[in-house]
Amino acid sequence: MKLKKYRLTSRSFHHILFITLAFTSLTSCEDYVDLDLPPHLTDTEEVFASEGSAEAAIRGIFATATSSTSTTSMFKLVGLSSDELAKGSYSVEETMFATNNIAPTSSNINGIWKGFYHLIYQCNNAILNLEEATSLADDFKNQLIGEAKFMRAFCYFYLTNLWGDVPLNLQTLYEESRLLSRAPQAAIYDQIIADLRDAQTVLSPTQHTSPGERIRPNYWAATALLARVYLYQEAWALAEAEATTVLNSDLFELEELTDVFYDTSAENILQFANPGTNRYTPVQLVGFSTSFPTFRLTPQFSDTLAVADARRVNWLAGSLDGPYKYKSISNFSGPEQPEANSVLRLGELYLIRAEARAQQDNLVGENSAEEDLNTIRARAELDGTTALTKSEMLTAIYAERMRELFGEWGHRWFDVKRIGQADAIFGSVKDSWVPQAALFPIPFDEIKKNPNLTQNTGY
Amino acid sequence: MKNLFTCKEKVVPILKKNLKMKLSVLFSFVIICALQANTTNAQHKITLDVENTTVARVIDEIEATTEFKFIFKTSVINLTRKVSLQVKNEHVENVLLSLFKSTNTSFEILDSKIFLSKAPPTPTSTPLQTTLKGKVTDVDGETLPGVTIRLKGTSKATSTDLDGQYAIQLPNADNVLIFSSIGYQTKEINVGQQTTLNVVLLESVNELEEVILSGGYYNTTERLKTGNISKITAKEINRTPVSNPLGALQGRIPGMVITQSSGNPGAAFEVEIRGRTQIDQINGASDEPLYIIDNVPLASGNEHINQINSAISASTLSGLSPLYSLNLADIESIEILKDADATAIYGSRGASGVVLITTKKGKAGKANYSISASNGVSVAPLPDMLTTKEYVAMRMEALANDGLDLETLANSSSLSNRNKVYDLAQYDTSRDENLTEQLIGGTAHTTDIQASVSGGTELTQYILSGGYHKESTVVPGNLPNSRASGRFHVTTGSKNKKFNAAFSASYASTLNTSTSSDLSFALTLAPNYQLYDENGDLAWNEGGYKSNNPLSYLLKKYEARSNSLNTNAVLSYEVLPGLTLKNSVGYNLITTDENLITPSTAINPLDRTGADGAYSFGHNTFKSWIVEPQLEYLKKMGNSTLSVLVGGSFQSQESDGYRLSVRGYEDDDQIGSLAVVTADMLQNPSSNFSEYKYAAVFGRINYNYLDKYILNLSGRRDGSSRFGPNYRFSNFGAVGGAWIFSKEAFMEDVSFISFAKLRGSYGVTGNDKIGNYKYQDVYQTGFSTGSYNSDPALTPASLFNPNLHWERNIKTEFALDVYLHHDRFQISTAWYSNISSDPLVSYPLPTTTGFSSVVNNLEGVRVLNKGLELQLTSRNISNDNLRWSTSFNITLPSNKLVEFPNFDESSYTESYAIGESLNTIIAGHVTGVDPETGLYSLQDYNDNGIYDISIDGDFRPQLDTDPKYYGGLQNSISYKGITLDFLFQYRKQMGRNWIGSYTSFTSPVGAVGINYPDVVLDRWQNPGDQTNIQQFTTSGSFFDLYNLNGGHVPAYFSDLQYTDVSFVRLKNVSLSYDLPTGILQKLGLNSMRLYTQGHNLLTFTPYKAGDPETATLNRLPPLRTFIFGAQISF
Repeated sequence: MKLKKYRLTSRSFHHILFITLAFTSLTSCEDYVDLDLPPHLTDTEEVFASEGSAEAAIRGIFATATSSTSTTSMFKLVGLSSDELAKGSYSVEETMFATNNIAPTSSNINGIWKGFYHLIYQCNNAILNLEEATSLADDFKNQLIGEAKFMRAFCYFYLTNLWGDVPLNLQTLYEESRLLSRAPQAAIYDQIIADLRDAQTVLSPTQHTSPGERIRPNYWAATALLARVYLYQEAWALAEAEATTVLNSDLFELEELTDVFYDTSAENILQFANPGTNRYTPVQLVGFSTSFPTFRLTPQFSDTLAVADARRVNWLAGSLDGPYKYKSISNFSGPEQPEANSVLRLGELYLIRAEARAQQDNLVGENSAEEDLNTIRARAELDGTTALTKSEMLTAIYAERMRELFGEWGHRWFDVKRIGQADAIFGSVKDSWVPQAALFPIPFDEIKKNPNLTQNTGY
Repeated sequence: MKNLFTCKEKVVPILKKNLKMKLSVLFSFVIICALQANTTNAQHKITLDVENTTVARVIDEIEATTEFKFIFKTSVINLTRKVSLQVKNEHVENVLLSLFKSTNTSFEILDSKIFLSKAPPTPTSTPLQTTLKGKVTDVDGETLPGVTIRLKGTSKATSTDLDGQYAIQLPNADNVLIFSSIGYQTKEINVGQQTTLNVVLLESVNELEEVILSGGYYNTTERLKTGNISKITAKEINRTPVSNPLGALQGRIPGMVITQSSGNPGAAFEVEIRGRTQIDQINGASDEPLYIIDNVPLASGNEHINQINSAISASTLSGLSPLYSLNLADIESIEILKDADATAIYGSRGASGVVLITTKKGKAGKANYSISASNGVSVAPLPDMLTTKEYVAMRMEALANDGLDLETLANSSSLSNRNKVYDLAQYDTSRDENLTEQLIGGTAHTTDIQASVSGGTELTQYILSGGYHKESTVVPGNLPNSRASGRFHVTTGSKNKKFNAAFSASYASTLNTSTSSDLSFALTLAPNYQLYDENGDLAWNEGGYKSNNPLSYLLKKYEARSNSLNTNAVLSYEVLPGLTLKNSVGYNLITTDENLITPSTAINPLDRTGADGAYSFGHNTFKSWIVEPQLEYLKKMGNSTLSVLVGGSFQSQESDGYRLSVRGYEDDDQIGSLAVVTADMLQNPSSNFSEYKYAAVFGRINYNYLDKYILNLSGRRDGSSRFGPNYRFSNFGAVGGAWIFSKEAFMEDVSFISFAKLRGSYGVTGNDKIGNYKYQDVYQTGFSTGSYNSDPALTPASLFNPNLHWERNIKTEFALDVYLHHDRFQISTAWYSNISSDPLVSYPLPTTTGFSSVVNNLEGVRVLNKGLELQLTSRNISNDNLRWSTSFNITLPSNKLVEFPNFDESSYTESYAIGESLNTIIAGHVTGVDPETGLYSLQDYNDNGIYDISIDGDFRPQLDTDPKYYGGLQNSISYKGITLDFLFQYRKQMGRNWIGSYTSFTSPVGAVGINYPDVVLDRWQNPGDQTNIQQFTTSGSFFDLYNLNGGHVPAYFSDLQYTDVSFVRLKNVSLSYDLPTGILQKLGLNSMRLYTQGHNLLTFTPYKAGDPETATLNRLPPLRTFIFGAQISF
């Protein structure tokens, strides 16, 4: 029995030893499961704690914008919706846009909507985090906030012009934004103007101004977009004033037609850099993938470009009648000089001011609508306009906008709608046109997920 | 087996005779326990140190320190006799022999009971005449140590040594010897005059007593288990000619649905244990079980290990299976853990069940060499497609129905019109080369070679094995898939058995090649499609219509090379009797290198630019480390046994990979070289890295009273890196119990019931398989948005949710096992109910939030899976020459979304319905084909005259794709050396049909360029026709979408896409012949077996268009395989 007692002691000893060993190792559990982030992820708070990464987050907005379905769809699909492009392929999706009978289930409709709101989230996230950031210099911080606000205004501009009333989301909490109902277009415009005004105050007039570096918005980009917004709002004097500010800056000048879309073009106020390092232009902007054009100008549209019009030679793909403003694509031989996606360019600003002036009855003479219009016509090697009356002048300006801005950012679609001519113009050339087609359908998926979202009439 | 449960007085006389046999049985049991690494063999050994003590005291002492219990009549045993004994870790029978030496007391050991009785009178001795010698092996030729050989009618017995050899002296001729061993059928042999007798023992059908089940951290037995553990053994696996172990489980395990994703070698199997819990099937927490190979979690789980798409990755849920690298011949057993009792010890990873794969271990004895080789062929069951003649007739009929004229269209100036009839005008309509046959009608060849050597001493055993498996596929061209593997396992222990160590390592290298895309997709091409031109070269663009030849995919070669290493070391030390300290350390590594080469010749000449060669390559590494210190304690207390296990787990898992594409090689010979690559040729580089860490403490307490009442408690506290600090740790646990009521007195008279057990369990497990870093608010850098104008750019990775937490699964199970007529009929039933709550999903959000989803727990959402599992085994005939056994299993599952708070405001109103299965199909309903118009008509549930494609309109839950019941029926018949096994697998289920996979929204049957299975011939033709397939038509207009009689377009959004995909399949047939002992001796072999096996031989199904398991024509169906092989051991 004595032996047993000794054994018991030994047993207890072993017990204690083991249990201690086991549980010492287990107490470190808490630390053990705490992981460092992998190299491709960075904590949001850290992103906005240093200049380099905060700026990278802003660049992320533009990187997203360059490849977003939203931005690239403005060229082809919105062009098909208007009277400027005809389909060259047989895809169901393209047919829907070309016949203005878009199913709410269309994947492209979903893609455009989703893309803009994704960009808006990025802007909101940047704005809110930058406002909270404590370790960044105010000037630097404000500059970045200005860029994000510019982009937010830019996205809402397209959203409201495509869909009318749309949800206005200015924050990042999904619990709140998932049930947003549609805000009236007026409220959207108020926000756009407020954002652009803010952007004007904080954005630098000297940064990103040299040709080739105009790939991020500065004071001038905000002003140019504001001019367009005022034009759409029919605030003619304000539109003229903002356009004049840009036109008088001496930073920008009209380029040769062949050089307008180069990444070094002095005509550009803002460009999106091409995605990746390849410096090619997305197929959607070129209209050609390899050998066949996937879309071309409608006959009535290409007829408007007179033989004398230098833009016919320079901006169309010869016999194929494709809009061919951009020419550089990865696997397609193009010009030596790389191009970039022109977002805002001086050509448009002249036409904005011409229209604003015409609307204010400043028709001919020095600093008139005629003068601005003829600047654009002259570059296209056309004679001066013969328009004299206000209505003639406006008609001439609309026609010029069509010839100058075709195949760019859906200008034609928006112009015809904003001057109230959709039914007259589209109705006359499109069999299937119905007035309700002027607004796109809200994506089916979105309505399904957000019970507060209502559909546009006619869908 | 004898009835063990009658009272002492009755038992003793019967037992007396069998004393030595029983001892041998016990001895064998001890050996088996010793071989089974880490089992608690201590309880069979006795340490005693007594001086001049009464027998009564000694008996008390033994009862106190071991699990043994003495049963005797005090009147017949001399308890006051004084004895002295010093033994250390001695086998119990030796101790008893010493204790009762030269007394009239005899003993009998059964399980943990020792029966004492008065010794029978010594039989009158007969002169010994001959010595009989021989060897005992199993049917595989493996020597069997510890087999008891008893002379019938006497107590004379011996047993085989480690090499299976025995020698026994026999009194006279015409003796009958009884050979018995645990796990084997007892054999009686009339010896005659021979002096050498080699015996082959057949495995016992009744595996109740002996089969040791692994619960992962502990072992139990079929008899004593409290949880639901199903086991399949090497025998069953090796009867199945498959290359993925999951294929061998099909139809065998109740509650487990295994679906082969495609017939391409290497393709994944999808597994679901006890129903679907995944609300979000693409991004939600996976409901795949946890896979553990020899104590080490498989680093990749059952998720695919490829990054580049190929024919192997046929669907979004499939890809290259990591289990392909497992050599089936190395597997000893696969255990499936299903209920709370069995899975709670795996805590947050056990919610969807656990699959434990155990590899073979060496057996003590002389080195045994085994070699086997097999060769076989596989073919794809081919669907019956329309012939060119039928196809052309279909197209012409469609054109006529649409009022279109072939001539007019063909000669139209509009390209779009001409393209509506390219298949009739531009293609040769007299060509019919049987596309199906040409694309997937080939014969694949399979070769498999295995070799192993195993052996060892009682202390150290080893096994070394190597295998090579090669298979090709049924598409044209040479696309080898192979696996070479090597493995060893060694166990050793100290002489006193206190220290045990086991180490295993296996390495496999696999090669998978395939076309870049499953050629099955091209079965739908017009049957007059031109594959080869007049010169026998690939044809392109016949008649000028641009089309990519499917055979060009043969030129785009995909290759994946995987290497996998699995190692495990287990050290254990018995600190004190009953107390064992153990540590298990494991490492699993899987690397995959893939490349896909696209030469310019694979590009349509119309698209060639002169620099078309492309190359994609990627690398992926999965690593998993696990360290699990454990402490086991076993204590016998009178009639009860307590075993306690506590342990910890530290697991780290990592996956790291990259992929890159290069486009624009000018010279095909250079493809694959990076030397000629310029920056602008690089496309979409991407890399990924993710880490997962996991820490836990776990424990189990098992209390067994009289082997009649068993209580089992298990629990785990888990921490996972996948959740934020607030939700990182959580507790899981279960309670399980068993009542072996056949041991109760009231069952004594129910003699036809040999064993009956009621068992139940309840507990909580969890699921954290949602992906890493999901709770964190982060920015990411990626290829498409990783830079802006060459400067770095960051984008928000996703919406984040700091409150992510475990998905919980509350499992309840009740089971009844009844074995009848000496275990001849075995009935096991289990009823289960699993409620999974707070499912982790990628919650769909309106994109106004910025993203289309967020990873989230759906709080309060509960999904109920319940069902009944039934397993019947019957030993129909069992005698020396003929054995026939049948086993049958059936599972009747049900699935239901029970609760979903605020369902109407959720994003799931179109996908689910409360009270319905998760696999419910919510769609419109086709009422039939209108006999007048020949178009599909749809049900107008809301009576508004139009077809509304929404749940508020005309969508309703129509059906669900849950299996209604499934299972298997297996028969095993052996006559002398011939064994025939066959398994039928069956499943009753609805699934998608050819309409879903072949037609598209606007391309109905009759559209240009698409061929169909010949079931479409049953279409509507004339007014008045009653049929369920609408008239042929060339196109559907989406303007008809809302038209209740609009035909194909609205019907595309209806239950028309679903059909009965039930099947009964002759899954497996295996016929083998074992050469008789006489011939073997002449050949100097232990055993030799010749066999042939077949897989997927016959399928009975109402599904008319291809294989019902994959239920799509776009994927290569599971292949039909025949193999022939031979196995020898010496």
